[in-house]
Amino acid sequence: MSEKWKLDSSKVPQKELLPKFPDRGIEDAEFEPVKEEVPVQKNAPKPEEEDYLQKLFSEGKLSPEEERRQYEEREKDKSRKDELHKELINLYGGASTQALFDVTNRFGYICGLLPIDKDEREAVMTKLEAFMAEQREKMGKLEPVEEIKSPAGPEQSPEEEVEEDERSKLMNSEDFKKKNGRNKARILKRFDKEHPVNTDNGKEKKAESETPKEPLRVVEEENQKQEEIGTPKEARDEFEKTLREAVARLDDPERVELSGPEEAEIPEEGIPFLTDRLEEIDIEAEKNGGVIEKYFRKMGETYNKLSTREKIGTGIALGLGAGGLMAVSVPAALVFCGGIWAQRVAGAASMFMKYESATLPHDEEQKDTFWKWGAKEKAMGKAMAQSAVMTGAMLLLAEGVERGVEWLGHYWPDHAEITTETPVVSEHPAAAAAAGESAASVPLAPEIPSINVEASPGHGYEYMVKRLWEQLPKDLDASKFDADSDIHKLLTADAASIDTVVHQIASDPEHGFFTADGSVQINPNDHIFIAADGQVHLSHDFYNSGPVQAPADAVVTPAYSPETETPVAAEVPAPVVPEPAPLPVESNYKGGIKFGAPKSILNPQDYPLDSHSSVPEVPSSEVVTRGLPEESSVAETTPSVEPTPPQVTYSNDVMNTRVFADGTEHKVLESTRSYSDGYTELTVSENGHTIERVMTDPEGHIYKSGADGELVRVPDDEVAAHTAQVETPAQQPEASTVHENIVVNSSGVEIATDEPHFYADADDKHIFAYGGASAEEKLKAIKEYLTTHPDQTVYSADANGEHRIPWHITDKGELIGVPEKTNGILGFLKSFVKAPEPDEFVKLIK
Amino acid sequence: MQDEVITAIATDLGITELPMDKQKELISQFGEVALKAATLSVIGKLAEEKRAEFAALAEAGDPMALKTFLDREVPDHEEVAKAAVAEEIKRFKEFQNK
Repeated sequence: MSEKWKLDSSKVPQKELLPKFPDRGIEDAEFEPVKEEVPVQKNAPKPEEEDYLQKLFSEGKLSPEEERRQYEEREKDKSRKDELHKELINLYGGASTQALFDVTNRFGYICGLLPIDKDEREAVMTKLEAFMAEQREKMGKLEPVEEIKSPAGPEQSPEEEVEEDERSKLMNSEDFKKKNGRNKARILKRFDKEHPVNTDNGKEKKAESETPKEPLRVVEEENQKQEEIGTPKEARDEFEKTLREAVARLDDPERVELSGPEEAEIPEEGIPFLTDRLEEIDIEAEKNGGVIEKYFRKMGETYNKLSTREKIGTGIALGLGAGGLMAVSVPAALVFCGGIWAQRVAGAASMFMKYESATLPHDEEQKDTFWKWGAKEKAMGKAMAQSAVMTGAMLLLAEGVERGVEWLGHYWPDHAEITTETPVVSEHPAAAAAAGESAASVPLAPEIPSINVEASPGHGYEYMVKRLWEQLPKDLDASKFDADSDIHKLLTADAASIDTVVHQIASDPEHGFFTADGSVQINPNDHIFIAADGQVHLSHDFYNSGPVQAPADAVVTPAYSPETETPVAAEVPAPVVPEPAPLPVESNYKGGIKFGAPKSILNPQDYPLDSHSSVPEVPSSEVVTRGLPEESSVAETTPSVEPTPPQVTYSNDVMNTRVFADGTEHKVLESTRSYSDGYTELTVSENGHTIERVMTDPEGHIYKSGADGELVRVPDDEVAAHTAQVETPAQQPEASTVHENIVVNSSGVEIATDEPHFYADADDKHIFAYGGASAEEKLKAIKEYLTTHPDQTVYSADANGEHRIPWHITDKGELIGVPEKTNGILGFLKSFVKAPEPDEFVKLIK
Repeated sequence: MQDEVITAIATDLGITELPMDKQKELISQFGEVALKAATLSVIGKLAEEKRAEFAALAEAGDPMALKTFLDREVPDHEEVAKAAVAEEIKRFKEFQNK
């Protein structure tokens, strides 16, 4: 493997890799690990030349004259290619850097480095010439230009020089920079706006630029550029800089970093612009009123809690990064945002994370894991990853062949005949070549079914994998999958063998389901699914590069016990022994308030903190249908089926600290469940013992457990009093007086609304941040404050000005804040605390 | 590789020349705009009496149920959402070019 693949891709923007695509197309792009670092010698023959010479001299079939002639032809084509390359750069010299990148990438796609084979080379050169003709026409050039002859540019009149000096002086003043930032293009644009030049002079200058001294420039382009960039000198500087950078990038992609992004084109107002746009959308959503308005607000809150990586994953699900080619799935994105990963989003986002973690040239172990895909994915993935079209590769692997091929066809039109109607990867020559396989030998892997099995209390991998097996489509052909893949094993399992199979899958060390100490933490929102590689994955492990060691005090799921111990005769439908795992934190709620005393003792060993659903399963109705004849049904196999209990529509388990009446602090587990019939239940337990239990019925009546465990309805007046006590914020005895940007509150404190300040309440118990033109401005002030007061907490409103958020700062200087909740009644009926209001402030701190 | 994926998205948004952390910040923020805009445009195609059902399904977190619902009520919902995202990208780019 040559050194050309030893580039640290993390330092190089994607497209800069493209000009380095090997001469002979994808067949050279075998994606093997780099075995050793070989220093690049500047004057060493290029690998393709070595190959070429080796071929010529080893075969010995050519006469020396023929060898020389061929070599010279090739060199001639290379020179022509270089000339065209320079011309291309010249053509786009006045355009944006992005446009230059795009077009040089296309150039690179077309030519690769130039094939050795003469016929192929001629075809490439023809395409290149056609491409260049198109670019010339597009850029309004009448004649191709060899290169820039003189960087000096047009001469200036003395008046112009004086004017330019003045402009330069003004623009370089600290005041102007402070006001307008350091972006040169922006400064020039704003300067021109604030200091319009004499129109006549401008025309003269533009007229001068039309002189033959700069043959590259045509009138329209120069005029446009003049308007965009400013003075001729600045324009020349900008142009030269762009050119130098472009050449540097093409010659040595690793030098890209040298041209830092300090002169970024994007104004700093990007975030405020998006914030404004969000507000517009929210206002638009509010017009729908009711549930939609509420839903949008919740969506925003949920989104803001996602990590940056997850947010990027959402963007991928919405088609960002695919050049508009990827279909957009609102259901997937919404469900993702709601906290449950849809398969589609999971696929895209997990690919993103895998790519992120699998830095191919450096981490062999992760690379191995990463490349555990089917032959189809490998082939296309290699092809596209090697050409640095990561989005396409990601699409391929996450979305299936068709979209990946579409994407590839769009960006690599000259190398592929795309047949999306027949999504057989083997038809794609580049892909097959990349995999080193013949086109016919690459089978089309069928689509992996999109099935998620959520984690549930007391259940381990075996249980989840078995549920996965049950949901697999019955008509899926196992023979289409790799025999070693989990999906193949599951599809070929029957009711008699499935328990053994799921146990093998769960305990297979290659899956890495467990940490070195044999433990794993499964979180409430985890799920298992079958990824594109045909293997079963746990979502958390998949997204986070491996399992997480469970805390020492975590409870564990029971040891595996097969659900079926006796093989079931195929022709005799028989009920399957239900999951023997004990059900933790069982609710004995079966609908309505008709239950007896709640179970007061909870076995902590049965209650994993990672559980999120406590719907008691009805053993008698649990039937494994897969592998059994169609006529097998619940009714037939279960003589007496209990009425279906209400389904859990929401569940949440949190560990909380409660201060008891005697002043002692206790760690308690608060389990909240909402049911489909409108009832809601809260169970508070400590060390497995139920301390409190509260339910509400659909009418809002509250019931709590009495001394004997019976649920007793709480009188309405008590509820009202308690609610008022908990929910009512600080008293607001007097209306505040509002002046322009200043609020004088009931304590007489003047509170600025247009800039953030810090206030304290009585006895300095709480510190508040209030005011500011934007949430960002306020957050910045909070961060500054907490940096110097790291032990304090600052309360402020959320972005919508509705909820109160206590902000803390971590050791790493990160702000952390989640909306504060009320205690509710006995920990129930919690709601968000309202945002701080001016009347809570007693004095100004800063 | 993260950089490359981010670069791909940044290319869509025309922000490749920004520092990487700034790109991430903008992409994160833009994600919410795209999500809400796409959702809103789909909701806009829904009959009013169906909107509450949509919200309930979305909150319930069942993608297949939601997809089935949208397939029935707004058959071209993917295209609608795609157009909304494209429109937001266009808006953002226009803002940059001002």
